[in-house]
Amino acid sequence: MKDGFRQSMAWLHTWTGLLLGWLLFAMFVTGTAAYFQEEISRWMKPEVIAAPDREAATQAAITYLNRTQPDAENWFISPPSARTPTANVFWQPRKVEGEEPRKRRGRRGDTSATLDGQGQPVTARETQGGFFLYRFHFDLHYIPVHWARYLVGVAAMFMLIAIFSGIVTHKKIFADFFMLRFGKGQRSWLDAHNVTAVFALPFYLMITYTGLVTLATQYMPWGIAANYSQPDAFFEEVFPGRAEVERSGIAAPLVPVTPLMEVARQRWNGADVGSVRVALPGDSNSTITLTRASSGAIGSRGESIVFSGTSGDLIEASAPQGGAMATQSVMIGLHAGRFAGWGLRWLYFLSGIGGTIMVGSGLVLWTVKRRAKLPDPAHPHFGFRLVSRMNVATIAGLPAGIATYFLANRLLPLGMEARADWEIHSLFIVWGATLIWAIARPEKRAWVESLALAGGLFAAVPVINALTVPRNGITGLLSGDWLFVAFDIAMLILAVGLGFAARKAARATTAKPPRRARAIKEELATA
Amino acid sequence: MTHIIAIALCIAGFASLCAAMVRHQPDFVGRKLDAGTSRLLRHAGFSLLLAALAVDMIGLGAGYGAVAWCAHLTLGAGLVLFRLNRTIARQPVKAKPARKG
Amino acid sequence: MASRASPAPRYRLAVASRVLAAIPLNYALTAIATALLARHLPLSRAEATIAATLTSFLIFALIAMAIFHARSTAKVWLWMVGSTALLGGLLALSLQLGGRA
Repeated sequence: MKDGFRQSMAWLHTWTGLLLGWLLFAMFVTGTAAYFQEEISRWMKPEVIAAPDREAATQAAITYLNRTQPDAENWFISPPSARTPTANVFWQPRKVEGEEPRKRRGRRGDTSATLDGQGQPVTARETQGGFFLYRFHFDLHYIPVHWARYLVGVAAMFMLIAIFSGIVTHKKIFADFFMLRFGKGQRSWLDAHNVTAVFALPFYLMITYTGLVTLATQYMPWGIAANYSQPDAFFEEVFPGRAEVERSGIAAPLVPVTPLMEVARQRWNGADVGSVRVALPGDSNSTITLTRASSGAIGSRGESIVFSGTSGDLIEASAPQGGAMATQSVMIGLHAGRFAGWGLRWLYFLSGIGGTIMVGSGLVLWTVKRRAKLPDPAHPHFGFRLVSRMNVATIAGLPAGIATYFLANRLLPLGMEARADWEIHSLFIVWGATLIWAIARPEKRAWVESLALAGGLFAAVPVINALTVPRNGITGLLSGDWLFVAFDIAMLILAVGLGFAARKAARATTAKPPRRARAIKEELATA
Repeated sequence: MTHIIAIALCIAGFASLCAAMVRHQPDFVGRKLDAGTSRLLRHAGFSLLLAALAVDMIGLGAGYGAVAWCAHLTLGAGLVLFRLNRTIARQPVKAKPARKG
Repeated sequence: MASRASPAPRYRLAVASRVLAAIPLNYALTAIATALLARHLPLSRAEATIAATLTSFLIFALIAMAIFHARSTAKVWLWMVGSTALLGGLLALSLQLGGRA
């Protein structure tokens, strides 16, 4: 199969690329947007403006939990940070003997709260915010999380092999880097695909491998299975402070958390506390576990310290990580990019856009290559029609859906039942409607109309925002509310980019597909 | 600020590397360069990229700087490639590459 | 050469057979190799487990590529079945002898 090697690789690349391309496209779009998930969440909760003191807000959150959930098994507190203005808390209700502990899936509202700096629940609209885009990146939606992650893992594994085989088959890829041309005419789709593929290759390699690593224990649990009788035994060995504590039944008050946070900060060379766990609050055996914020270092597995909840004595500090664990921690950190400051965050974002263009142009390329060979170009066979319509629905439909998600956040009634769910449903309703539209219309019209729709929806976001909430880009300019300024600008760039793509699509001859690269690029400025 | 300096160094570095490659010299420099100059440019290119790494690691810390450097390299290479393409696209067809890139 | 758009049935069969070797069988082999590494890397139990798990994706990708790189499909199967049986036997032995778990 010597001659066939390149051919079989190409065949494999074409067909698995097509099958998984739609999924990879959605993963790239939502993953790239997720680099700004905190900012999107803040935009989607315009009522929240507090930017409180981290330590004081944590103490206030504990006071709140003490008042409302004194019997809980565990409290978990994420203190506010530079990127999140609120303290987010959730709790596990006390276990009842003989009853299965409640799973944290499903409705979170009854076991979680968003608190301001004074420990008061924030009255903000019900929304999942940027968190939904982040979760969709690897959990998808409407299907069981477990299966979604396998699907996502398969897509990532394919991409890893595609990258490796790409490097092997095109060994001279780096020496020939400057040979890459942004071509014109027929070759432009191939060029767009090649340039974006090579240009950020190190990023794709990193993001794909580390993406697999983030869910490694699900995809490859056999190392754990070979060494541990129970997976939990492994996790308890790796993450101290996770272990369950035995309830004594003797009541005892909690010590103030602020001094403990100061101790932790000093041990971590000034890095902030990223999460607080209080186990068995109110019991004499209670413990307080502090974990370093993931913004403090590249490694995402923050060190943790366990204190006694009643005396404040240090019980246990996580041992220095071994090489493998530190490697894993750095890999996950590199993937999530939580450590990145603004400059690096935008570079992450740009690389993500590169990936989106790479996948999107690859999808279009499939139809471009085959269109010329169609026996009857006016009436292509079913498979061709299916792929070309799926392309329209994915590449133009997902952006339209995301714009709708933002619009729904502003337009749905604030007191609506299951409001956050309906924001998400609206995304999928519009996405699905684009698919139906793409099937119903001639292909070229479908491109033009879907792109125009997506552009129009993004253009509507700043307008609807200005009409429905007091914060917007213009007031932001005057008051220094840069989040709203940036968001409005991003929406307008997206709208212009998609409108431009729609115009290009309308002008293109039927033999040529619309130029999509720019639109894809813009659509990701979503965040 | 560190980002800007490092990106500038990466652009200069890749521009030197590109100019050091014989087949790109007509497009990128405007003429063929002699072997000595090419070698000098190649060394200068790698040195500039290393300088960018040093700037990143000093300015942003070793680990963070190394990550940022990878991003800066990508951006620098992309921008030089874009410039080269623009230069070629602007040349009249079949005319001798005469303008300086 | 001209008919690349519709490969011959034999060619498709060879690809299908290699896909079978490169995905399900490869996963089994990688899982066994990962388990063996986790048990026998000269590191602490948790460290060895993590190191093996991190490496597993590289192992999987390299085996998959080798399968498509190989000349003969029959040899691919021979190698895959042989190494899976061998490593599987070693793992069974290692689990029998106990130790880490």
